[in-house]
Amino acid sequence: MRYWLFMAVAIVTEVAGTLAMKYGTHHGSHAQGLAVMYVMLVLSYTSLALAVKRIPLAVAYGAWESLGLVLITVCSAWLFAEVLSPVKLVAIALIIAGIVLLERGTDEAPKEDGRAS
Amino acid sequence: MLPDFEPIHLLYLSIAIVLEIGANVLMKQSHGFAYKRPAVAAIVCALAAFTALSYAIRGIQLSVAYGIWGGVGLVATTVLGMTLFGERLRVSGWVGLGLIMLGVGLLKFA
Repeated sequence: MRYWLFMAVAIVTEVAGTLAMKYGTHHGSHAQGLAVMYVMLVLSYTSLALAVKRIPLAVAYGAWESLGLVLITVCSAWLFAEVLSPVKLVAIALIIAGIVLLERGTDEAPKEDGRAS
Repeated sequence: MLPDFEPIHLLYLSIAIVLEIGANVLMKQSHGFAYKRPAVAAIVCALAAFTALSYAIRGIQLSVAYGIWGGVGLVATTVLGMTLFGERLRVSGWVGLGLIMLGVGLLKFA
């Protein structure tokens, strides 16, 4: 359970960082937006690294990327008045379904003589 | 696409994608961040990728740029995983790959 909390923190900080970048680029100062983004992304990757101690990397990465995509799309529409056309919603749904299937349908390479951890 | 879209924004998006692929491969090599050096390199690559993305979104909507970035990056990472790390795709993996490409294509023309 604790590891899914790390996962949630990783997703929220990534989305916050991306939105700060967008805000800085279009409304405020580009450098300030980037600075907030850097801090958030380092937090996000650190949290993701903690999460993958228990959660398989493929599952974690798929969840991180697809949930991030959903939240960023929804928040962009809400905060920055980006248009959410039906075609765009279908496209994003397809990408998310694809990310999940791809993560689930990839087999790791067989381990060689136990050298790799 | 935003009103002030120019081809340079696609170039920034391409740079962001290449950096993201580098970050993914390095992340893989860090074995879940167990090895510190590739882990740090992965984070640096990812920060650079997001910086390139911040220039791309001056001309491309964030939701479109982010979708293309994530989708293309993941497809390319998968291909690299197959060639560099000997990963195999099951049928569901191939279906997923197809759906991502379809979605990215749709997003670009939406």
